[in-house]
Amino acid sequence: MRRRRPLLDSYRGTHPAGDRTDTVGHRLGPSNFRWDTCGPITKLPAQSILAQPPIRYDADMEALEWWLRSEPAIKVSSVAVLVALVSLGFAISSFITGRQALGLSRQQEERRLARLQIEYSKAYWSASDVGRAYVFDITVQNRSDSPNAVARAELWINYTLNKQQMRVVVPNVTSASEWAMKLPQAVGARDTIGGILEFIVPDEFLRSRVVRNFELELTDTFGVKRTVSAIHVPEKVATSEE
Amino acid sequence: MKNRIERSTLPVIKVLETGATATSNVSSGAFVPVVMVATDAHPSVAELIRAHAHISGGDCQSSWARPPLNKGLIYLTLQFERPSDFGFHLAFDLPGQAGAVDQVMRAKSLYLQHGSSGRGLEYHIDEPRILIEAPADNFSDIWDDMFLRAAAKIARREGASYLESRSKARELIDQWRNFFDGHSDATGAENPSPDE
Repeated sequence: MRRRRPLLDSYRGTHPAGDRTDTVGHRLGPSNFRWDTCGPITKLPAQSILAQPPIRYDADMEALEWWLRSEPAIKVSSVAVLVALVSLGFAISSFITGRQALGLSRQQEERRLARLQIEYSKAYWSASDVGRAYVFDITVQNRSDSPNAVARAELWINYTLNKQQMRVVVPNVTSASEWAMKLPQAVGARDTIGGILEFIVPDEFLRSRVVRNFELELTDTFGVKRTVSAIHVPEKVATSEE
Repeated sequence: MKNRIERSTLPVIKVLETGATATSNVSSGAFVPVVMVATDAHPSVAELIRAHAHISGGDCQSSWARPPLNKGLIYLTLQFERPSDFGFHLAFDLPGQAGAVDQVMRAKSLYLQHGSSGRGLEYHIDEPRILIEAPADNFSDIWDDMFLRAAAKIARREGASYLESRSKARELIDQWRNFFDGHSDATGAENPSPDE
């Protein structure tokens, strides 16, 4: 921060800068000193120089004096510049406030948009009579202020056949498990639901196909799709309790 | 309404052969055209047909289109959403396959299956096929005019003069449509076996 220099009211009269020299005769004072208005350079002893109060050059005072002496048109112009600068300050302040208000509005709008967040805790497959049963244990969060629902669940299988990438979707089947998520499933505002989704893929279908990954896609009431990807879906290992 | 022209990047698959089949459980026994394409050259189509055999249900959006610089073709654009997200243009040759196009327009559906050039449906009757719904509500008026021109072209090839070709084309179209409509009415649900 700029330090304001102390105002000296008499530096022109009693302490002209041009009168000061150092002990070897070098001139002290501001560079714009006018030698023609001052007396000759006199060598002063070092003690007397140190005894004098320090000379300060006050640019603000000079600017004020210049402004007071200047033409009225220049005065008006300078006042206009000052007003313009103040207006610019207000404009910048309004801009910052507006940006903050826009951010807040967007956050509120985001909260109104009922977008579902999907997470799956585990995924596995097990053999069934009609093929492989792929099971995804998922939780669905609705962080918004509006209620929503899981309308449809599909499993996209990305695989390669003869080095060509293929993509096939398998619809959801209602599982017999008590934890099965029965679609359509409502998700209230700021609510979380959980359950398992099951997809049956015939054994013949994936024969000699190299599966790259699985994508679980959930479609909500508003038609917005959310996808969670699973690369490795292991076979379910039967435990001793089962 | 202003027409919108869009450049499509979907692959164009030429229709090799066409036929028709009727079963009691599809369209009440009406003839449904069978469109055969070389799926060995397009493995994605083969995989789509194979997936349909294992995974029931599917969604497909269809639209008819004409290439701007080739009046000898008509495209049926099929954009599948399920069980595979894949799209392509079926290119029908005019006037050679105009009858098949008219059948698709009237039946609002078609079967798609593997086929080979020069070998009809009788050689590929056991191939797996998928049934695709292809409504043509906005294109049928345009197609009527196109079909008339194609039939007139066929009539001129058979020796009719330019003036005669229009009337012969109308007769040809009437005979063609009456044959399939009459046959569909006659068969109805009483013919459960595939009949081509």
